[in-house]
Amino acid sequence: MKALKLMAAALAFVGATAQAATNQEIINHVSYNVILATYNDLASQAANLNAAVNTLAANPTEANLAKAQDAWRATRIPWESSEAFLFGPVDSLGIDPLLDTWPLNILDLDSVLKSNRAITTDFVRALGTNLQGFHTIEYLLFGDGKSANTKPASALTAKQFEYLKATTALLAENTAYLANSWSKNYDPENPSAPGYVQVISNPGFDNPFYSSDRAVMEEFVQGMMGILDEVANGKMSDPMGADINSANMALVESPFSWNSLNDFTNNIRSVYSIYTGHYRSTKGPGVKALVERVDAALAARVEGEILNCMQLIQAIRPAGGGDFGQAIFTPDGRARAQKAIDALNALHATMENEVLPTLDM
Amino acid sequence: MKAWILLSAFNIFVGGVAYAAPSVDMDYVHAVKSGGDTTIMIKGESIRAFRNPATNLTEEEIARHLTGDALFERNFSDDASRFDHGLGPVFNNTSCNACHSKDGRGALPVILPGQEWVQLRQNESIFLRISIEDGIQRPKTAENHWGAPVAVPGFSDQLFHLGSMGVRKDLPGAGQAQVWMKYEKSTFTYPDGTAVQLRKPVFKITAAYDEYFDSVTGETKSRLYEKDVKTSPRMGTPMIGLGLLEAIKESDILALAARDLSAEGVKGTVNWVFDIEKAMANDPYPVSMGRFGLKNNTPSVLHQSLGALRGDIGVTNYAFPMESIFGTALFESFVQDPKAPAPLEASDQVANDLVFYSQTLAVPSRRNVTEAEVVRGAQIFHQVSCTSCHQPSFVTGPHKIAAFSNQKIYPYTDMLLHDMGEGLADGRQDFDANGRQWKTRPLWGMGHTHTINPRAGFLHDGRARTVEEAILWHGGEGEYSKNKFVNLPKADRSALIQFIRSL
Repeated sequence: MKALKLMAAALAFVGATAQAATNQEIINHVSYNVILATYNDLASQAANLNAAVNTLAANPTEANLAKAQDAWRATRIPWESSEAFLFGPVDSLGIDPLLDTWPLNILDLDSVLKSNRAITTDFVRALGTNLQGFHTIEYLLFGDGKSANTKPASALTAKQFEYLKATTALLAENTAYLANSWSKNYDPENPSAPGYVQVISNPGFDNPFYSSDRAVMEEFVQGMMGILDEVANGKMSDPMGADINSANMALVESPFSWNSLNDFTNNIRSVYSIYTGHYRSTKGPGVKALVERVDAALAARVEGEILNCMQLIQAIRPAGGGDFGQAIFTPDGRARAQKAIDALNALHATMENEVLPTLDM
Repeated sequence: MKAWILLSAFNIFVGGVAYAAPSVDMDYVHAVKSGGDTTIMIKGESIRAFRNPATNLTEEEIARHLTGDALFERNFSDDASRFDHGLGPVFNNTSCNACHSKDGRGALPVILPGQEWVQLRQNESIFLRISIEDGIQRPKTAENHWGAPVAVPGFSDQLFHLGSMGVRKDLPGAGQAQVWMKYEKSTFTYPDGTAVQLRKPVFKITAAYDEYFDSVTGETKSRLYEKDVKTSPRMGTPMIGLGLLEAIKESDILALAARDLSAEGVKGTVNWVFDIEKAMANDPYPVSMGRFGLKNNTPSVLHQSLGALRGDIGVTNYAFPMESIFGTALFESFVQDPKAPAPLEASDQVANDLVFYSQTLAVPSRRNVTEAEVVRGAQIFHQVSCTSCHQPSFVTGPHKIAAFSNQKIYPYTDMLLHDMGEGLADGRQDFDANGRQWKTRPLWGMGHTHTINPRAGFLHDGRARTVEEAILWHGGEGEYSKNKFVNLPKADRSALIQFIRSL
């Protein structure tokens, strides 16, 4: 019955062109073609990263290091582009901290690397979340990020290769687990539990998490608001401090690879994807289609604000090289960052005060 | 409204003082603003339902709440050169948020198909309390820490399964011991034939740091493995409305304790517990009414939060300035000069902002209150006497955060301990709470639980996956209501659950 309903909704969307999309079409498209697609991309990029690291370990050339670094950046894109929808298994299965705890615990990592211990995936699994995931891999592949965002392949030790292989294997395992939880089984303790994509795209009285399509829409909007706030008032404001003298490099996310501004941009790209339904080459109805039914001008304005935020974040990049971690130590860079923060906060206010109420109209 | 609005106010004498016993005010059936003026109005469902500051705070207070919010999510580090230093040397998690995920309930670790036991690692929202138990309750004196559980020699009153690097040379990342969990499963069958699968987590402890092989007995031994050591799991609980619970008048709680509900087999009692604020003020008898913790073993949000900051994360602070394992062999083998006084790891500002945050999270409004099934469920809730312990409402007294004073609130707890029967018993004394007693959990916000965390578990150890399972585990003083519940027609059971989901 449910499967039939779902098929009917999907077919209805194929037929719908100029007509306004229904709530169910929006929910289906965002759930399957944005969220699930992002997690599938994340899992496949993480597998690539693990393979690139294995190649690098077998043959530590500059070219292979560059490929591994590229693979890290490529894996970072779908992950950062998932942060407008940190609900469901990424949280309930405790996956987020395993992938992306920061800051990294360099002190403890160094002490493990100095020890004589064999480093296996199970060994790393037993360590803290701040000793695994993206930022551990980042530190090992890119160096400390202080004066440069790369290091020579010759600087990688045998022990570092062991650690890299183990921790990228774990990243691949955890992201595959996440993708599976969305596509096939959201609760591994209950084999009959479907993929979370089916849960969220079929709201209703019997759905234990979302009792109505309004609830799912609200989750989408709240998710967008959550990451807008996090980027503006956490990821950017915390390292900036109250003034230039209290700026703190230790609070910057992705400081080793100088990837912070790309991370932040991709965070807002996830807002764009949920809002417009556009993800990579896929287009379809997103929350915007719902807003359009109530206020077409508002719908267009919000899209413009999202794109503007992404541009303002990229504009923080220092002309002479470096990234967010360098920009916050110059008055110019801080002014550009503040402009982005203000725009993000304004967009958050628009979402809260204008977009959220459209759910009830 | 129904005619069976009874339990009218009558006067009771406790120790010569007259208390007006609060009646069960049936306005709860239709009440929307569960937290009075602090309530955040939430129409739908989202994972952010518990993440809002009380709505009637001043601008200055909201700014302070947001500062505390960032600290609540901070991952503490054991690197002394870092700003976020303070983690460890032993701990159960690295941030507050890790156990109170999105300020909601935690979940038990995942046991993958084919596994029997799963090891608790970082990133779990559960830990074990431990103590030595001889079953004798003694008068509260300074010598027995005013009736506190007796720490296991060489350990603490909490088992730390995680440790900073180097604490365990043999097991990097491990703490005092490793902890493993599996499930015991059972089936409950209703009189109408409907069956419900229940599960209960059981734990085993291995690799204790003091473990040795006794060649005489052929056993692996540790002080922790001795028979007199009692353990009890604790799951992260929701953070909403704690300042309001703190503002409930002590006299109202005492009046509830003094009611005669013997016909229902209910007798709520108060836990009188050590109060760190009184101790810091040099009160000669630093004991207060317990309000927080699953056994009401702390008297205030300050005591509970700063105790957890030092205990769960290992961050020392002005209220708890010593590491939890100070004076044990593990501590002395780890630090260079174990007797030297160490500086506090959380500044007073950080500690106080965390307390403020913990006091000021908003309770969400109720939803679907006019739906016929919800209204019917609310009435059944009273009919089967859930309200005897899950006291629907209070009017708060004064609180130092003005926003919490004089509010009509609907927490659905009497703030008292009740014998919950053998199924839930942990056999472990905690001040005046015996091994079968637990505090009545507040029910406000319950309907948001599984949206916030699809795997969240109810009860002290998170064993119940649903409200229904949680009800079915009620025994002891809860037996009377549970029996009434299980004998209801299925549609009425469902209505009652729909009411709880409306909260």
